[in-house]
This record gives sequence, structure tokens and C-alpha cells, in this order.
Amino acid sequence: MDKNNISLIGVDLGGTKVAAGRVDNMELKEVLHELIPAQSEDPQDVINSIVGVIEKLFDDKVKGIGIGIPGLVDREKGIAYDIQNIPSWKEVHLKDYLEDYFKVPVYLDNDANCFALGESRFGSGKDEKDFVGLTIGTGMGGGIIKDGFLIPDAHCGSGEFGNIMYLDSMYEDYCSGKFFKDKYSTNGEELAKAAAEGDENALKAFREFGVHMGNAIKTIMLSVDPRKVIIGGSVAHSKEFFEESMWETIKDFPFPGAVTDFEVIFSDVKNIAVLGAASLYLDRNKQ
Amino acid sequence: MNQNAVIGISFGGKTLVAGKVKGGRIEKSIVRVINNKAPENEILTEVFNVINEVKDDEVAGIGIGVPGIVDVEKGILYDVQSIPSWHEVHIKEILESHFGLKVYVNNDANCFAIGETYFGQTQGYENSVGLILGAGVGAGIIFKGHLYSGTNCGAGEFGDIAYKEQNYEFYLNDSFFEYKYGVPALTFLNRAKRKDKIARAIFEYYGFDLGNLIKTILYTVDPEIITLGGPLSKAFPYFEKSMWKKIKTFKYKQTINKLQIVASKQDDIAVLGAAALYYDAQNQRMKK
Repeated sequence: MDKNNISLIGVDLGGTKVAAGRVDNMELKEVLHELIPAQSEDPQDVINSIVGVIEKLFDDKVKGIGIGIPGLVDREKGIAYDIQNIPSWKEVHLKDYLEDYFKVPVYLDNDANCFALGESRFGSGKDEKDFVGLTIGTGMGGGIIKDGFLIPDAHCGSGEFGNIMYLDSMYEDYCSGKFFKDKYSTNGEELAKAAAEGDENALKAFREFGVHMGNAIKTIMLSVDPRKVIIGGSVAHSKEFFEESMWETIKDFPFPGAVTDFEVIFSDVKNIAVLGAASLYLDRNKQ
Repeated sequence: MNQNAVIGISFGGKTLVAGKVKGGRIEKSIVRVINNKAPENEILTEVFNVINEVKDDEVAGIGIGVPGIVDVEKGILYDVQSIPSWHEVHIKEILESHFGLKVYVNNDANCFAIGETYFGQTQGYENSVGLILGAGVGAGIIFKGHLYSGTNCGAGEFGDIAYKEQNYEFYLNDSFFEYKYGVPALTFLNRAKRKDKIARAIFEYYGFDLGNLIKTILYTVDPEIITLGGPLSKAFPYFEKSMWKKIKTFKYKQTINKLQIVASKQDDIAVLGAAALYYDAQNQRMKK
């Protein structure tokens, strides 16, 4: 089927809310956001919220539904496991349930993978077949795109670079909003404002952040060796304050030849998680 | 599986090994001690010689594994670690035009991983990692049964990732034992076999560092099975427990419940793995 003539629904499940969007002919038509009863003891309550929001966008033209999950997924069976922010979700057979309900194919993947896939289909990765998509917000996650498709790993768990050991904890604590909160008791947005006004302390914070980002990117290069890293999230807007120290750090990579044609791109596409989730249909059907 | 006969070649320090591989077996092989400090062409001549000695009419291709950086597509070797005169050798082009056979080149860790997939511990598994613990610490990554080399053949260089005061390779390569304790790794291995308590304790520490590296591998490429190779994999029984102790702290329990970690059982894996490059390339092409 021609992807330019198809209707899909993408769902981004978060720890407190769910976002769902309808994509017609590769264009996002409508996005809905709803709170979910994440702390409810019955796993069915969150499932019902997901069904509810999909129903508002669904009609018989929809060919498939893709869902980004904040945790581990059995891709083939469509099972979500041990979702941290939704304690009742120990093992949820979401694919089976939703396929039974909507009678169209349903695909699950990790949310950071959906981000990378979104960049590949709708963002800065459109012309790139091999890259790592890194999403930076309150945390840090990533997804690996190879030959234009998500890499077929064992449990949708690849690209979790934020969890890798770094200094006294892990990369996520130094390469996300957590760094500004823990070390500077502020957030990235406030700090960017101060940096723009020439505040020395804020500029120093971003320079440090850049060094940590550079180290994270080197780890990505050593483990999966992509052509590009595409970084998404609001951090893109303050790149001028940390890009220089980030590149200085990357430049002492042990294999200098690998750095010459390597690129880091910042991207901030609206609703990228929903777009990526909708793209799961295309990814799984090798379109 | 592709049953064509293939020549596998591996470089290690001062030895050059070539074997004719057919049906998963090495039918004949030759080990040549070379002067690794010799000029570029002299060592190339040695490569020609060993190929000629194992080659016959059945042979359909050649696979080569080297310790160093490789342009996989063009078959160019850059800065081969054990051979100082080899800065940039277009070995694929040279051998293909001379022998009229398909030639595939990759780094030794990638050969190890694809070799285990075709002939060793990860047969039948789709997603695996082959991790070499020796003079260097590096890995090959297999997705859906095929080698994933990355853009510059640089994927799986986990040993270079920063760790503690240095990087993983510093703590996990075999010369670390001599550096830290003044005793070679293999001596400790023999002592551990004889239940020497100090040697056992040293390998227990080794397992903690290795466990941390394996967690990093799980977070980056998420395999279902990891095969350990290289000389230090022989110490597997002595670091297995402490290694798992560290791995058990991994964030996702489902991953750990299913994960397997094994030691390689194939002594000839370097040659078999080099030959497997040919099979992998043929099978990937068939898929496309």
C-alpha cells in the first residue's frame, strides 16, 4: 500500500498522560492529550484510557495503530513489561487487546525508539538511513535506525544510552534536565535565558553539559558507530551554549577517521513521539 | 546454510593462519609465522602464499579478519595493529584481481561474532554479541543473524568506553593483570584452576568489571546471548558468579531473565569466523 495514501494512528504513552494523533497521507491531522489513571491498581484502567483516546480518532479508514511505551516491550507478541510509572503494568498484552477491539494491526515499541523512527520518517533523519536518535528531556533515551528501519533488537531495549554508567552514576543524570536540576537547582529553560544574557554561571553550566554530552556521544559512536546522531527535545534551542565544548570532547575520539564525516544534528519537531508511533506500521511492513 | 568452500584468514601478532572451510569444518589449514615488521609487499606476498597453499578448485571466496580498522565495503585495511607497515592496504581489490574470487574483510571481533553465529555458540540465535577478552576488548554485534558493523566498521568497540579512571579495555585486557599485580593473566588462570584463593579473588574482581561492561552492552544493543572469546574467556568459571551479580542490577528484569552468557568452545573460531564473512555476505545479498 502507498504510504502517501494511508490513515494511521500513533499513540505516545507517558507516565501521567497519553497523546494520540491521526496521520492521514503522512500528515498529522489531529492530536489529543489525556491524563491517565497511572496509579490505579487495575491495569485495565490505563488500557481503557488508551482505548478511549484512540476511539476519538478512529474510523474504518484507519489501517493500523502504533504505540510508544515508556519501558520494555516484546515486539512480536506486543507485550509491555514492568512500566515504572504505571505500577500496575507488570505484563500487559496490549497488542492482543487492541487488535481484538479495533480489528486492525497494532504495533508496540519503546518510546525512545518511536522518537528515532519519527525523526527518520518526519524529521531530520528523512534523508539518512543510519543514525541514532537521542531524545533529551527530563531523561535521556535513544533509538537506532539502520537502513531506514528500527534495528531489530531482542526486547526493544537497545539505544538506552542514558542508563550507561558514567562518573558517579549514569549518563542520564548528566545529559538531561536532571543535570541542571541537581547541579544548578534550576531548569534548562531558565538557564538558557541567563546564558543568553551573558551570565557566567549559566554559561559554565552549559559548557559542562556539553562535555558530558560529548562523552555520551563518544559512547554511542563506540557502541553502534552511526553516521549521525540526531538530538531531539527542547535542548535544541540552547545548543549555541554547549555545542562547542561538546565537539571539543568528541574530537579526541580514539579513531580520528571516524569523526571526520560524523555529524550531530539538533531537531525539534512537534509531536514527534506520536508521529514515530504512527510510523511503526510502516516500519513493520517494511515500507 | 551456504555450503561453498571458503578460505578464512586470520592475523594475530606474528602469525598468519589460513584455512579451507567447508561444511563448518576446517579441511586443511596452515599457520605461518611472519615477520610482522616487514614492508607492506613482503607481508602481502605471505598472504598470497598461504592462500595458494590451501586453495583448490572448490573454493568460492575468501574472508579475512584483522585487528584494526576496516572499510568493509571497499575492503581497505587501515593501521593494522600488529603490522606497522600496513597503513592503508586495499586488500579486497588486490586479492580479488589476483585470484578472481570474492573477498570479504572485517575486524577480528566482528569475525568472532559471525563465526559463533554460523559455527559456534550462537547458532540459531537472532540477536547476539561476541565479546573478545584478550590483548584488546572488542565485540561484534549480530542482529537478525547478520553482522552489524556500523558506519566505519566501528560498532562494538565497547572496550574504549570510559570506565572508572580509564576505559573498560584497561581493566579487562590481559596485560592488566601484569600491570596491576605483576603476574601474567595466564599464570593467574593456572593458579585459579588449582584453587588458589588469591587468583580466584582476582578473577572475582574481574567479573565485577566485566559485569558492568555487559550492562553497557545490554543498554546499547540489547542481545539475547553473549559469547565470550579470547584467552581470558578461559577463566569464565572463576568470574561467572561475580559477573552475574553485577548484571542482576540491570534495570529491566525481563532482559536479564532471558539473557544467556557463554564462553566460546571453538578454538579455530578466528579462521571459521573469517570464512563466515563470506556466508554472511551471500545470505544478506539473497535477502535483499
